[in-house]
Amino acid sequence: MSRAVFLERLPGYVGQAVLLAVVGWLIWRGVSNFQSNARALGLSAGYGFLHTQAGFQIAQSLIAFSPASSYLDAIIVAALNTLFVVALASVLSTLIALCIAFGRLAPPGIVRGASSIYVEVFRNIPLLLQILFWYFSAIALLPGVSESLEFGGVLLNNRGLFFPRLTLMHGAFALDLPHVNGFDVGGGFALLPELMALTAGLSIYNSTFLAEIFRAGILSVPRGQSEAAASVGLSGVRAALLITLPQALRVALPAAGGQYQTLAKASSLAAAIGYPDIMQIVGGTVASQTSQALEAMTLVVLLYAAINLFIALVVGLANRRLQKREGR
Amino acid sequence: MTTHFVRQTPIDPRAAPVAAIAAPVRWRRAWFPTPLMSLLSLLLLALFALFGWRFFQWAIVQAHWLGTSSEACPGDTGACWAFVIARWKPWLVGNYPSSQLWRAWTCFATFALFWTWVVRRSHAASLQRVLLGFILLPVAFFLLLIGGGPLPVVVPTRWGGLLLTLVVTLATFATALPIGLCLALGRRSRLPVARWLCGVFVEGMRSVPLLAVLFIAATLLPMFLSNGMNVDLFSRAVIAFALFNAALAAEVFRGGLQSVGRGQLEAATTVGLSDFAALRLIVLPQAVTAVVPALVNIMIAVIKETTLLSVIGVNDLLGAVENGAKSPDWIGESNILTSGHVFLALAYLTVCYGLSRYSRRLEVRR
Repeated sequence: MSRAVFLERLPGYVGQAVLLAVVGWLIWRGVSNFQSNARALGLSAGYGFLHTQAGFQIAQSLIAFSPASSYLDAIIVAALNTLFVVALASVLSTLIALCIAFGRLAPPGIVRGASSIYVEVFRNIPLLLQILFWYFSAIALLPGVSESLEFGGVLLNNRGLFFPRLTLMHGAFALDLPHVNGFDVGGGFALLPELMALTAGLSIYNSTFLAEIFRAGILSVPRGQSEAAASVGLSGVRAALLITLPQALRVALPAAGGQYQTLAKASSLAAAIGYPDIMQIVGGTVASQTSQALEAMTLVVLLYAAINLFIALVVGLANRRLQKREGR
Repeated sequence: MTTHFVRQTPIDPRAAPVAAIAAPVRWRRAWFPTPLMSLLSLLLLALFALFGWRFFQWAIVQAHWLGTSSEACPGDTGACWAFVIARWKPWLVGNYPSSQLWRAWTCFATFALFWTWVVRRSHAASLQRVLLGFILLPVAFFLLLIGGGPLPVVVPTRWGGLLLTLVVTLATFATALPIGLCLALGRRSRLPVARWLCGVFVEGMRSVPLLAVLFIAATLLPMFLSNGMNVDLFSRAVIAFALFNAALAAEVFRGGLQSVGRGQLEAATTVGLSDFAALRLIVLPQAVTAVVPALVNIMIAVIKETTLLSVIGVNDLLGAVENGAKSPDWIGESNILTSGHVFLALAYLTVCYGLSRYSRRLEVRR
């Protein structure tokens, strides 16, 4: 490097060094403050607590969990609960969004009007307010346990939604039907009211954004495609499902992936109504019981980042497969 | 010999084709084009009628309008607007002292005037002044509301309701935009260290839920500050909002910067502008103008996000209504909280829908 070039780049080098020094100093100050504060409060550091007994119960868990289980188990249960609600809400919101997207592209009339109203209303009300509304206002309207609504083995009341469950009993499959048991429901697989409210809020709120993404995707498919489909004799619905939709999804997938990531992050609002997800269990219960807030919040951040990364990977993989098929 | 025939008079103009199809036919085509759509239309119509009638009954006919406690709203057949009306002060200004309320009204009135000017101003000429207003207003509001000097001090924990939501929204906007712009410029910088640091910050922030950032600001941040520094919960929440939204704004600005063609910068350098002058005079005006609709969308997102403040115990508009339903006077019927929720939904819907229409108008006008 010649002397002139070095002199020209010198301000850049100095600036970067100063920037690094400032950031480093801030981090060093923060860490040393944290250490002295933690010492003053008598807090210990480290993840040793993960293998000690948790001592609390979790209202809903997909795997076996009891107060005797460790904190690590509690965190796994919480992560599974988050994944469960994210998967449920993603599927539901996608289905709703597809209907709404086609509804908004219908000829002017009541179907299009209703779809537009749906999008504008549910997009412009804060998600937290919607979740609280479903939890405190809508689920309170459901009947009590003794007057449960029943359709084909599924029970619905203000304690939740109860599904039959396949169980392995004495080496043979048996159907474990939910049944009213005094003031409680026994058997079956339960979706708590918290889960129902969270799923409803997340699905409806995100379906409005997904609907707009899908609509843009459908509009990007050339008109000739649906006209060609009609001329070879496909009905409107079949043309939409077989010709338009696959091409539209290809365009919409990257944007939709971003929306699924938003959904996963928004599922942390579970903490407001007490659904035992990552935010509620790790950031709330574990952090306060062990008083190791730093470790707990680090776990929360890492878990959400991992879920986001996972969604990005899945969407990227799907995208690549779709692009490849298009190229053939 | 040929005969010619020449008309002496012009032919009457042909009647214009019937452009408008008869209204009933048009309606039939719009609502009942195919059997499936007809069925759907009828179903939706029935649903609307049923729901509209039920809502009308609940919200108007059977509603209770006046009263100071839950006794004003017996049963749960009608809405309890008395809850909303009687508690106007908590949800409008929170615990702000009654003798100092003029300060809150001044803020509301100033903002209303400012916003009217923003919407009605002639386009493009005054974007700089709008942005300056959005940065100066929150500072002025903050100083006026907190007081000091001749005015008695009112600590932020006593602010609440709509006032707090307004101040937090404006303060977030005023801090997140400059930080976001710096981050966006940093990510496009020639200096690898700046590029890397800004990239890590933006991508990291974007992969974390806002609620987690708020939790960290509420519970962990004091641990990282030295003992003498006492930052109250309100300021910590605003810091969390600012940093989180700065990452979102950075992506918006990055798009704006990318939309300015490379030739612009090259031309500016050719005529002898320094890097900084080219950025300030040529690139930034174009980039910022391009992203104004997206900035309005960020504002909508911030307004909706402020509801999360109620989760960490700051008394925003949602928190004020939630706390109201837990106060001894109004505890009891679930109907009371439902009325509060419906009222809030209408309020947020009006504001956010209006803003989204405004954003769309800006996009079309550009």
